[in-house]
Amino acid sequence: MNNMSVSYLQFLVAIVIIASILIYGYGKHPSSESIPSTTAISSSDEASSSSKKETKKSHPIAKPGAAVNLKSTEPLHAAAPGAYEYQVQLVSPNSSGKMIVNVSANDGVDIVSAERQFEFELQGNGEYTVPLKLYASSSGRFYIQFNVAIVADEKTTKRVITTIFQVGEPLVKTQKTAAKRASSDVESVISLPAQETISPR
Amino acid sequence: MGLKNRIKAAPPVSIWQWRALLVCGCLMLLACGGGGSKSNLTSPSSAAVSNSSLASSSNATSSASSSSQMSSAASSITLGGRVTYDFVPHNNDHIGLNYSATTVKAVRGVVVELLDNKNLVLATTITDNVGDYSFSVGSNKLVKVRVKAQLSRTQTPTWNFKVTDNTNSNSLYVMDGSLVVASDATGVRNLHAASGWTGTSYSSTRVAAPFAILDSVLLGAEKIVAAGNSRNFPPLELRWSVNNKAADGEPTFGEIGTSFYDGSAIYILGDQNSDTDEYDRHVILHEWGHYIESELSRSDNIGGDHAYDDKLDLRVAMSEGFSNAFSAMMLDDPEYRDASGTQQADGFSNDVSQKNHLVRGWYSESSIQSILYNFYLSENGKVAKNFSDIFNVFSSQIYSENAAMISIYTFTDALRSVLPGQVVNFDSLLLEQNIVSTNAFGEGESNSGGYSGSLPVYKILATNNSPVTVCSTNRFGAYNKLSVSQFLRLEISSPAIYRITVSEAGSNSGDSDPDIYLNRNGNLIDFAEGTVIDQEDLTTDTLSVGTYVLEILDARTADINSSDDITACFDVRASVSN
Repeated sequence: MNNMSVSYLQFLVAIVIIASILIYGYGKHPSSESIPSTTAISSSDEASSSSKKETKKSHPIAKPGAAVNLKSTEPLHAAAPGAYEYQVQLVSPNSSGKMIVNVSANDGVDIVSAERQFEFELQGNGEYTVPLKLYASSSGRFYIQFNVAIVADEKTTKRVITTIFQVGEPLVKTQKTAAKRASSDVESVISLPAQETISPR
Repeated sequence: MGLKNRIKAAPPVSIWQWRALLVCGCLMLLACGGGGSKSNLTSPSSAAVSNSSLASSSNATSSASSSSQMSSAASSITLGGRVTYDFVPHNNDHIGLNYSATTVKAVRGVVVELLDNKNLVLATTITDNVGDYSFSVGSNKLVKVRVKAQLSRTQTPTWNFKVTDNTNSNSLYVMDGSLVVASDATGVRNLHAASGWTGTSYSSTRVAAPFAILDSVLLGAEKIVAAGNSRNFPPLELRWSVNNKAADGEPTFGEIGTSFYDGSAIYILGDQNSDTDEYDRHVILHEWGHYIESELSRSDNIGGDHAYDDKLDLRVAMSEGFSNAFSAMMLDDPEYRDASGTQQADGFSNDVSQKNHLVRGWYSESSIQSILYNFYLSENGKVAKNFSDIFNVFSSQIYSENAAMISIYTFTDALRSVLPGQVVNFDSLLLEQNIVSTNAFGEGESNSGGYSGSLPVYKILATNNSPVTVCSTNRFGAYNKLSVSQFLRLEISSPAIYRITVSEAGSNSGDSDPDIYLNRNGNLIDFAEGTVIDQEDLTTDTLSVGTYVLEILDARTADINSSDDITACFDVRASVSN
């Protein structure tokens, strides 16, 4: 009976404390708080800002490098394994200096053409053609690297540009992996092996 | 009810639900006699990190394990050691990596976990400045040490930087030790992350790479804090993979194009014999500098390729020049360097302190980098190499909320308020780069970059329908180069809906495609990107009183795939909409 009285008292005390918290808390309801504005933008400006920001302008903020690009970033396509010839075009806005291009390929594709290094005198907004003959013995997604150096004003800048060489049908991209991570609370990890030394303390 | 209002209205329901749960929980605890269980359990996926004891870091799903730990606490031992990684420096001439000079460096500030044989987390800690960690653990228990590629700091300013793999579901890299019984004989466990270099190639696993990336980031974070930053660093993933190559395509295949920051994550190249950047500390800190300016200050950078001798859009020149100088300041090394090529033996370097550039002006990242870096070095009335001077300007309200777009002019404008004693010193550095700055809008600038249409930097657009002629050109390159975009300053003196029209003027440039972007304090608040030839039309929402910036361009000049030389001029008008 004594134990029961203590429990009942504990219950009453708890109810009083919780009621106090709730009453106090209600008075500080978030809906009555104002969100401080960091700028002087009007409400109509803010609404516009949030709803109209998807413009067609979108480029990543990239690291520095030589002013050169592929004219087209579309992959080189081949319907089936075999040897194919391509004219890859590089563009550079530089109007002076020279551009040296070294071409290499990753595993699975051979550069059949004899010439691997190309040199161009630069003109403003010029296009520079690199002729390539490539051979792939199997279907797959391969990569051709252009290691580009631009020498101008006694300075050398470089950039590696890679073009995709797709032989056969490309893999269909799915979003399964991203969805899998989003649906799981457990952090997925990639385990790398340590060089570990264990000794007595 | 708008979305914003609906979001604001949501919390009361949710809070009442939580309070109801609290009541139930308290009642249940009371009914149980006040919480007899001593377990202090957290979820295994909790991100909270501390120098925790076994009891406080054990998890709900491993209560049995925790119990055994608790019961064996009387015979606990200290298990610890040092975590290190291989750091590969550049050659003395700054070109390429020098593998023969590889050194062992401490893995500092990263999360270390002690796991049991079921991979359950028993304890968590963080390595100190020499890479040391330690745990208290029950003896005779099978345990292994896991070092996460995660920098974590829980005191203000907090940070949480992770290195993940974009080609593997953005999974976190971890380095694991072996599962060995904890005892005095196995109490010291030193873990080393090897580079994987075996003489001619990376033929072993490149364990060191994620930790090399984090070490550069930590160095930067420490300097930002030392400069006085008290704002928390927003979480950031740095996505690196051995598959990350310089091809534009599908990022989950590793086709990332180059190392870059996209506003939410940093992607880093990892393709050996082509371009891999984990040891290019200037590159890592350059991209992390973009994150810093975006998160702790303001950047209006529109991205895109850029080079030291480009004539750039003023927003891009400022951001890229700042980030080049930032990496040099963080490392106290003015030689920006980036290794590439076969065996990473090639590459280039760029002395950011150099003042004598072929291209000098407000549109040159080389000019901006040299101004900021040489100001950092300056002892003229200030302490040399004290980053807090630049950080105080850069993080000031007058800079981050400036009506003008972010450029060297806004930096100078803020410097006049924040460091008035340094104005003369800074102006002399500007003059060396052919820049004259009288206010945030570049009034008084006379350096046109060789194209008269680039001046004035901001044209003034009245609201009386009078035309102002501007020209968009790709003569310096497309998209992010000088005078692709033209800027007009629009002063609104009475709230109203305004109509802005753009129509081609002067000689016909072909089928032009003008676009309009309306900004306030760097925020894009409205735009028009119609496809009607030679004209564009924007009717705004109600604009409040204040200063706005209109950006006008011909979409053709922004197209990086276009090889046509284009200069298109437009009459721009603004008036109250009827």
